[in-house]
Amino acid sequence: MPGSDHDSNVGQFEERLRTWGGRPPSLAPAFAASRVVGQLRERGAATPWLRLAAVAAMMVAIAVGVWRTAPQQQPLAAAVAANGSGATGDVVQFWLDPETPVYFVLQPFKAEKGERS
Amino acid sequence: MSVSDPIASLVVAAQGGDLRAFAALVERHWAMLVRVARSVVGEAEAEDLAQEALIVAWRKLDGLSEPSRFPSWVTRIVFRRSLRRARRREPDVALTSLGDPGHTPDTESALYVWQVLSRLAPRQRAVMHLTVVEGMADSEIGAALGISASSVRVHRMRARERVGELMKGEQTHAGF
Repeated sequence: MPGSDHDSNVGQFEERLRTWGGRPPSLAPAFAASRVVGQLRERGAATPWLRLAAVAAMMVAIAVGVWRTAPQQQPLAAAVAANGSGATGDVVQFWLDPETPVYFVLQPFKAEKGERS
Repeated sequence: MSVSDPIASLVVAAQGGDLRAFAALVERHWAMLVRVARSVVGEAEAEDLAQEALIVAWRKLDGLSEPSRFPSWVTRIVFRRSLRRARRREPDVALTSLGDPGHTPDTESALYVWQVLSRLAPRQRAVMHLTVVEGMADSEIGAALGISASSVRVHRMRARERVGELMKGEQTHAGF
């Protein structure tokens, strides 16, 4: 149970707290208000640009994603053409992963000199 | 809302995007908000914290359904941010430097108050401040801190017990 010494100590502390806690801030209220409003204006002006930049970045990301995931038929034709075997060659296609096809173009068998055909 | 309530009128105008009205609200409440923050986080960070809290308050202003409650609403924002800051970095202030020759009686007294306050839980500091410095009623303190009036009384009682213990210990060890 707190005694009179305790109460006196607490009272003394509260007196000091009243003085310490009641001091005005170093920044005057009018100055603080203009500073806060200035910050709000700066941030408000910056926001539309940030939004535009974010939308542009998102559109680029979507475009890149679509381009990378689109089915790519071109390599097959290119592989066949590069091989020079034309439509006569057999092509075997493997998928290493959904985006990575591997083509094997098989030459039509031709008998060399001295071999049985 | 009472039309004659100037604070409520300013809040309604600010909710409509009027920065001048918000500036008037900041001007009216600035000193009190800094004092609250100071009692929870100390002198060094109080003004920056109050500014940050006011910027948050502007963004959340649309959510304030009763404009006349702006003072306790904005105090709660300052208090919550102060609480987070205080929990992140509890001050480690020793009750040892009181006899330093560089301290004037004023700075010594200020240092002592903060040293004692920093040994209380942040919520207890705020309750002590709002009771002793701002002279607020328990219901007002509860509204400002987001707790019940009975919790306010419990925090104050515990804070006073702790202050009594600290001051008694200090008298014993340093002849304070």
